[in-house]
Amino acid sequence: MKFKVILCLLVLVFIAEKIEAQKLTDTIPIQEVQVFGKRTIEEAGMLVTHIDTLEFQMMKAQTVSELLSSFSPVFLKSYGRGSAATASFRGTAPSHTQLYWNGIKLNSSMRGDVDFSLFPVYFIDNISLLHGGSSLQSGSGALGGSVLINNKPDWTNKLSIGYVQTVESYSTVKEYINFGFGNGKVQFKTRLFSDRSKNDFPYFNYGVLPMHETKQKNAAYKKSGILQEVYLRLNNQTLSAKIWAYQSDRDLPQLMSFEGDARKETQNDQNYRAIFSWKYITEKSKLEWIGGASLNELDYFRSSTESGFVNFNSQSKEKSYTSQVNFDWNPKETLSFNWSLNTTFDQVSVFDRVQKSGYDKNQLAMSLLNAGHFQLAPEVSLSLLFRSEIYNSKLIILIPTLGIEYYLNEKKESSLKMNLSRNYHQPGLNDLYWIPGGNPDLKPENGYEGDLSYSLSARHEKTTISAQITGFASMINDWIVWQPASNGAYYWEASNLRKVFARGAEFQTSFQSEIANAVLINLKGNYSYTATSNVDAVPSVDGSRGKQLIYIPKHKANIFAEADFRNYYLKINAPFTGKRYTSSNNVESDYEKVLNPYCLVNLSCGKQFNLNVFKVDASLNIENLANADYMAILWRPMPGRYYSLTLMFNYRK
Amino acid sequence: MEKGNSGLVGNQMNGIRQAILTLTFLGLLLSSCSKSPVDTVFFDFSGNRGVYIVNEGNFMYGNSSLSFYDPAAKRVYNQIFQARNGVPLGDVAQSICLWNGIGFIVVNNSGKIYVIDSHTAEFKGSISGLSSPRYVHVINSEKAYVTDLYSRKITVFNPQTLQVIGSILVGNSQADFNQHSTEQMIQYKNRIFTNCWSNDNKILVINSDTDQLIDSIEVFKQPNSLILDKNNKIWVLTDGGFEGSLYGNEQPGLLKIDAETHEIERTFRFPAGNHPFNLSVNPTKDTIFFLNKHVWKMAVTDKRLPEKPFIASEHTDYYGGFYSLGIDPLNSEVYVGDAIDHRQYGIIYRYSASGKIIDQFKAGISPGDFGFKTE
Repeated sequence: MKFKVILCLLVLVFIAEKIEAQKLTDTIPIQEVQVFGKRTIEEAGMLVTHIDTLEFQMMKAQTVSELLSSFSPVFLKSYGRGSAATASFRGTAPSHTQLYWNGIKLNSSMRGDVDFSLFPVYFIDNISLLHGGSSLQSGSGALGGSVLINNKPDWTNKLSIGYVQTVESYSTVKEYINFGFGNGKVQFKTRLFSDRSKNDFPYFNYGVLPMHETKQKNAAYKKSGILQEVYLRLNNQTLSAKIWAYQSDRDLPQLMSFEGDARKETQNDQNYRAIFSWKYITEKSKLEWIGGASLNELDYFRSSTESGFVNFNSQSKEKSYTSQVNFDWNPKETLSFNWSLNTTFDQVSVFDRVQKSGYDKNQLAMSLLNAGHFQLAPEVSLSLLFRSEIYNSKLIILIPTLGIEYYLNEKKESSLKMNLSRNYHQPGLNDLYWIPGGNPDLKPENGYEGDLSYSLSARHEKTTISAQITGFASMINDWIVWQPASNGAYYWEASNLRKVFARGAEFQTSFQSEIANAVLINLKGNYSYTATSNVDAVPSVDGSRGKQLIYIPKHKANIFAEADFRNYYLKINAPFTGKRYTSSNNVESDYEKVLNPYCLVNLSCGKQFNLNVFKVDASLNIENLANADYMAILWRPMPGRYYSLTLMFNYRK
Repeated sequence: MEKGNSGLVGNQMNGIRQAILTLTFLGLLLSSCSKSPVDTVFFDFSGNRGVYIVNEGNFMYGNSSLSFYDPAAKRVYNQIFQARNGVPLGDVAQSICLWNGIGFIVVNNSGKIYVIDSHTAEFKGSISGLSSPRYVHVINSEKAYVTDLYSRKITVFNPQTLQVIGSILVGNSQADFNQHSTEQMIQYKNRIFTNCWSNDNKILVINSDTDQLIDSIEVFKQPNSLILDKNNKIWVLTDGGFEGSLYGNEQPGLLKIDAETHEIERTFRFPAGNHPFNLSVNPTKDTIFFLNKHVWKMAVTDKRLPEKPFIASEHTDYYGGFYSLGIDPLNSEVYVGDAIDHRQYGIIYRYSASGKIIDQFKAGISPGDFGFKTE
């Protein structure tokens, strides 16, 4: 271990030394950097984080799960490399983080959550996060917050071709292709990707006797997809269509302690999504219609390959159709209103051919948003928005949020922001109708949330600094949990049992500078503290009262550093995950399975070659540089240090 | 913050290097706070009577565990398998069977049976490669059976050498559902009776000399447990399945079957919405016990189901009451497991034969089965 540490340091010193040795003045291409703190009237009083281009670049060949895990305060609970990953935003449940793709919600209507490992970063042009109550802008129900992923046309593009190939340890090959052409009026863009891996990383199995060095089995995956976009711009109207098709076939590995007969366990996901939008823009208003359809299928299969019998063979089909009309009106620069009416129809059908159980259900939901954003004085702006919803013929009349932003100085370099809101999250269809244990009498989870943040940004010549600290608290009532049925049955049942108090702080900072016209450095840090506990545990014997919810770390942090010199770059990204409990009363002892904190260090270094219209970028990436031995989930092995080579090729006219 | 960064600008390259090193160092530091090896703990329960408690843990968490309780000293030892052997017990430990100084711990979703020395909890060996094993029954020193939820076969092994020596196929090719799953076993003469629980309604009878399936007895839907009383009557508790099941569901029931003739002699029905399970018997085999939120008991001569619980659970509204039950075969003391929310250490209540509380203590997550060490 010591040797490895020294080796790593030597490599770094060497690289840094090299940079120093080549201290020459040269022009360097500066990538576009979005700085938080600069906002439009629509974002006044809202807590929004934009993941910037540099971070995007580093994660180009990864999934949104890895991107969020590395660059946002959101905690991603990942079952391993290539496996499913769900989010916990501000200490809430996976279903409390909502994902919107160009305005359409993509959460599973059955489970309520999103598997973020099914979204390649390459298919996305920008990502932003709406924290807490600010998420009501995009839709209700995101008690933690929402993640917005969007695609945007590049009207200046004439012809562009891009190809990325990554060759990684464990027989992993990723390929990405994009092809775009058009003019100022029409743009076509096609993106394709394929990601396949045997994923047979070595690990030390300390879950069985005798303990031994082994390789991960049954963890291979194969993912591929296509995204087609078409944009049309006519005077003040814009039409667009986006079609997303995605297929993921994953083998599901067993726990370390497994020594049973050979199993075949697989999960296959298919997603087809389409969005059509029409936008009509005038000087002071914007009218938009978005129509979306999303068809998802998840097949789960488990069999014993030796005895030749099948345990499970289930198909879950979800279809959802959305229509949304948005109208934005900006009568003045200091005043903006928007209205949005969303109608969504979900159809779900689940059936297991072996277990012979399942259900078919559908639901209709409508949501009306009324929002106003006001700049009351040069230093004070205010957002007031509320939603009214109809959900399965039940009406929730008022879901409000209020945001205030106050600039502390004239240059708008520092500001205070406050947001207060009420929010409702409807139970997923599994919670309501799963057989056995679904509970059709479930009430929506409902919460009060508030946050207060202070942000600061400053620019001096070629240096930019920004920081933001936020404190938040939310009290969520009727939190849904699955646990043993109160009627004493052997199966588990969904019920509105908990009252959860989630509170904490988020801190983000960034620093960019260009030194001696030669080196561009970029540092980013991110830390979140989340205490989230059940404050309403019932009987006196229940030791979970006031204890941290399982699998949600109190501490999460990440650091990103990049240095660019001429066409060379070095990037380090170090996400840290704090201790997580796996029992509701948070016991800890030598034998208790508390998941230890871990920090991964990922390093990427490479060079860009600019050859007129061609751009080539070659990089070497080292994941888990320190070879940390860690578990993200109980008894699921994770890979040690591994490597990849990425080659990017871009042609643009 | 601002100050630190402007220093970095001033120092330029040194600053970068320092920052990189600091970051890396910080990373290494943080990542190195992983677990330190834990010393082996040695136990000696020889000469002690006691109770092994098998704690299921949560499905796919791999956090099942083994506890040992010394009733004389009123002392509990938790996590003893891991403490003694340095590895976890596995995923969803289902049951324990003590025989001849060893214990067979069936770890259901790890597909294996861990064998321990019942005096020291020391690992003695394992039987692996199983599908979804549930219970072990030792017939003699050469033969033992393991039932299975999915594989449609009973595995036969030698309890001394731990070698698998055969299997008894119990598949029902005519059924729409995956039948027959096999569960608990009782022995009468050379006949083994096992209940088929999942989407099923049979008690299978196996000749333990020939390992042949010789009969099946149709009972109510989903028989979950069975015992043999002093009159050689088999009592079978059925839970009736659940609402919405395509297999169908019905009121839970209790049946009394003659072990010799395989005739059903008496049946009882519970009201709909009840969920009785964990049928047990006292040492004199004249009283049966079961859980139905609370602990209930009835004499084997009773013609009606009991009206009042023997021991009432105080927490039925939230967590559905008691989760597991065991009767001490020497002194008839009653051990009841309360799994609370199934995500924390469960509580074990120990009552006298008359139902008076003697002790209570915490075991592991979801305490599900008791194994009484009587030697």
